[in-house]
Amino acid sequence: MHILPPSLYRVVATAMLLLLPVLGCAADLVVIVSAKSQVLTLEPSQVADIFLGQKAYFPDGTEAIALDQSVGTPPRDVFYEKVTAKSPPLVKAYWSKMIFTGRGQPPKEISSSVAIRKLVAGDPSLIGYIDRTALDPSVRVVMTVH
Amino acid sequence: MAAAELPGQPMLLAEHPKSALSRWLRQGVETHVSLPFIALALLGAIWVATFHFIDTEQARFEAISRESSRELIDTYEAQMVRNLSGIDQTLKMLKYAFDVHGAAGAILSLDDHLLLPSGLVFVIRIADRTGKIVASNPSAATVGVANDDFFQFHRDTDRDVPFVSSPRYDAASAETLLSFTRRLNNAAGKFDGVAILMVNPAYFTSGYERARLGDQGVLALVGSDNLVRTMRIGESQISAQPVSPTFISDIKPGELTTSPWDRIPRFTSARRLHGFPLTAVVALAENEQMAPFRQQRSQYLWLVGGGSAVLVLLVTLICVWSWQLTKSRRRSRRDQATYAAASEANLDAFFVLRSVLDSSGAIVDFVIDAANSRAKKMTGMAGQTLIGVRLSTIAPDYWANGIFNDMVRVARAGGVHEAEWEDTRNLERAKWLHRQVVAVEGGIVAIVRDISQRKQAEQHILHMAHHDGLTGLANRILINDRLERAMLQAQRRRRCIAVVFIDLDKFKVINDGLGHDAGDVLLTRIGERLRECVRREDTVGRFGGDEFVILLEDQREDPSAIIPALEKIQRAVTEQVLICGRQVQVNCSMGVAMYPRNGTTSATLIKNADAAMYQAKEKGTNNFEFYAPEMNALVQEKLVMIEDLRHAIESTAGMDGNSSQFKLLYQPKVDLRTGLMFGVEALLRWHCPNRGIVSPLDFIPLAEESGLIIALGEWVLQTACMQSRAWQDAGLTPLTMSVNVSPLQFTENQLVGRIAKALQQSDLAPTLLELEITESLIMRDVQQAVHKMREITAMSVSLSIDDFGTGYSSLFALKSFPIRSLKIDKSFVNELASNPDDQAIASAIIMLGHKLNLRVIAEGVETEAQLQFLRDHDCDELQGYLFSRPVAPEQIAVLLEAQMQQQTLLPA
Repeated sequence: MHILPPSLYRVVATAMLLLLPVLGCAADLVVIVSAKSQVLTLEPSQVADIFLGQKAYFPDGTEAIALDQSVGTPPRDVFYEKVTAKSPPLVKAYWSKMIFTGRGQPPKEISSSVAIRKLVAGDPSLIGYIDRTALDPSVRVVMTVH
Repeated sequence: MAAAELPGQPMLLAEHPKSALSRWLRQGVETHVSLPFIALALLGAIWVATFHFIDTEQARFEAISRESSRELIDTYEAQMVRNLSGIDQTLKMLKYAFDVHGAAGAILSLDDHLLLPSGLVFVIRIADRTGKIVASNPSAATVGVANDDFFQFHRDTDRDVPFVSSPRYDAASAETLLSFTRRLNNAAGKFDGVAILMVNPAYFTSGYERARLGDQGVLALVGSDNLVRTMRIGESQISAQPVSPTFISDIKPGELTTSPWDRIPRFTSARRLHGFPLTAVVALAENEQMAPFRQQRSQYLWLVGGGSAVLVLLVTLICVWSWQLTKSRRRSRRDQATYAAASEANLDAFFVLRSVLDSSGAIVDFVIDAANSRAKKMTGMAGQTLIGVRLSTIAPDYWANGIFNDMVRVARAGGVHEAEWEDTRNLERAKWLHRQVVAVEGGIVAIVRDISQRKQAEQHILHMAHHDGLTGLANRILINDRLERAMLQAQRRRRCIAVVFIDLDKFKVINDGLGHDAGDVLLTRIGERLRECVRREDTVGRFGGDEFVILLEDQREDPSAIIPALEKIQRAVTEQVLICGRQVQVNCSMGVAMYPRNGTTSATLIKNADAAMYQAKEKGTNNFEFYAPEMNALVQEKLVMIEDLRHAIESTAGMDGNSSQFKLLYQPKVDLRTGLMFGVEALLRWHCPNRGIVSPLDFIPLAEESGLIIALGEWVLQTACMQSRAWQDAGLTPLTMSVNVSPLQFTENQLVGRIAKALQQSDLAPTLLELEITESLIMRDVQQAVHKMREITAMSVSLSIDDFGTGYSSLFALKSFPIRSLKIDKSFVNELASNPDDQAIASAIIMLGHKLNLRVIAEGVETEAQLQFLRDHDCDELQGYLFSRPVAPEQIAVLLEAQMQQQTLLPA
């Protein structure tokens, strides 16, 4: 089982200790839609399909447009890690292929959770993920990212 | 047997001139020879077809791969063109926004209009005329680009063309990026900076689909400077490296080309991208594309290889089996040929018969499966085929005479059955056949031999063994046989059998007198007559010599009932027979023994009939007598004595006189007037070891009856002559030697020869020999007797008549007899002194003799009175005990010597 040298164990352990508070915050991500939306709850795979450009509609048939956090931000990386099981390079490779082959464009990037919440609240076709802390009644949580 | 008569025989084919060719052809069609060739041809065809198919498949797979390669380059080209166009469009829009909003606002305005490409993949930057980055999305720490190739290109070239840089590491985004750039001009048209779009080179190969390109497929972009901008082989991204200048130009679309970077052959296609100094390359690894084909080919080869192995195995098995079959067939053909040759050469007929069964499995007939030519000849079907002919067709009589049943029994139970039978179908040529039937599988083999000749010979031998060669009558063996059978039958029927023993009287006289041929004729004639005078079922046989036996079967117990039959037989025998122009008549004596009273075995019955016959003979000629038990002993004694006599005579021949059972004694004859011994009479004595001294009165008649007297008489004659000679040689006075001759001796036609022989051997003067013959003998056939006597006296041998007075002599004949003397019989001399009758006879004989100039001698003189009477009546000679008993020759010598001194033997 000791596939890593002992010194490396120490480095990894230290990195994990440093990351712990960040991960603790990021763990509280929620996927939201407008409170006006008919969508009440979504499965992680349904969310993944929408965010990876595989589906353009909610399960009820209404249009779905995903909003992403900015590249390199913790919520974004955690979201893709948890929901699509893809690391940032894999997400980038995925979208490279999608763009190159002309099958789709990545979701528009919004710079903060609050901005996203505001946009989502106003448009039932939008879907985004934000910190739980940024929640308000204008939006509905359809999925919690664990 | 000529071989040419047997067409269709295998052995004949073998000798045909075309045989080599035909044998070769026949072998050609033998499976074990032809099959390997057929199998080899089949294997060849299969493998040729397989390889052809594999080649076709390979070509097909290669074509598919080439086509696939070309399709992929089409797709890749379209994707590249679209992306490059998009990139260039973005650069153009950036240039426009720069013109409108200046470096600071250009990117933002594009972003506002959602015209910026995704920052996730693309980096958009603007450099000012000094090479300093003044705007960037995503934002990044500014790094100068003044030393970059694209910057220098755009600064130095005012042509409005896009530039594609070589990949280089971008510190800001921490990755190697490819830069697409366009020149920015200020209002005056002077160089004012560079619009930059950067993208990871892997972006251009992100369309790699493993499903179509495999693990070793290639997507690549090669610059017109022969530098590979990006290349993906499977999952591996390979960065910049140069290729040879001819690499791109040598590529023919879809053809197999060895990739220079890893030496792997690939179906490679390349396409120059319009508007950019780039060539798109797609390559499909040959080993991957052709893998299904290789797998398929390997499957085919295994399948066909396995099939071939099975075929070879099967063919080998069939060939071995066929070869052995051929071998065994050849062996069986050779066996058949050998059998055919052997059976054809055989004198026996061979039939191979197969059983024909009815529905219940019982054998009802046989069918001929094979037969040799002897068989055809025997069945009268020469020249036709017997094969397939039913036994019932050629031999329907086998059902009636049981032969078919014998065959069925052999066919059922196996084993060998042998029998002989007479084939009487052809009545004119009935054949005796011998058959041997042997069981074989499913039938029988019958071997039939014509044994007619053997049977004939056998029957002939049997006839000879059972019949008398002369008369054709049954012989001793057959008589015994018939008698045994008759006794069995008689026992069953409670009837009697009469055994009649017939002996011809005086047959020997005729046989010796007229010769054997005459005797044979007589026996034959009498045999014929005997056969004629009895019933057909009665047996007439010749027992030997002149003895016949007749078996009268089916008689009553009363013997007298057959007397008429016996008389009839007697008449048949005594009837005259013409032999050699002379009428001859014989008599017969018959004895009869009756079964069962006189015996219950054939030997006893015949012996007893014989005894009865002797009894009859004793009584006189032409008699018959029934057997009475007491006669048996007498006859037996007589028969034994004859046997002893025969033995004595046989042992005497070739012996000297001393050891013989016979001896000659000599009785002196004395001259009455001189008193001197002038001669002797030789008298035979028999000293039998079993019975002592036998009287001549007992054995002479037996010797006469049995014919032994001939040999005995000859011996006597010779011995007497030799003795006389011996005395002379001893210096004694010559004596007359008198020898008695029996009737049989006298009638025997070699008597004269025997006398001459005896005289010659002893060198005795004929005048010193005198033969004494009996009166009765001469009287039987006077004429012949006189003739014989003259022959004898012609030799100077004297004759005298013995026993004169006892018979009925013809005085007339006596006159003509060439005799020297008469002998007065003993019976007259005995009582000569007292009996006047005897005296009268004696004196009459003396007188008669003297009148006929014959000397008269008296025998048996024993007394002085007798001597006196004879002397008174002037008898010439004497012999008798008065002078001397018969004595041994030595004593005669003594007497002679004494006589020479005293001059007389007679009493004074």
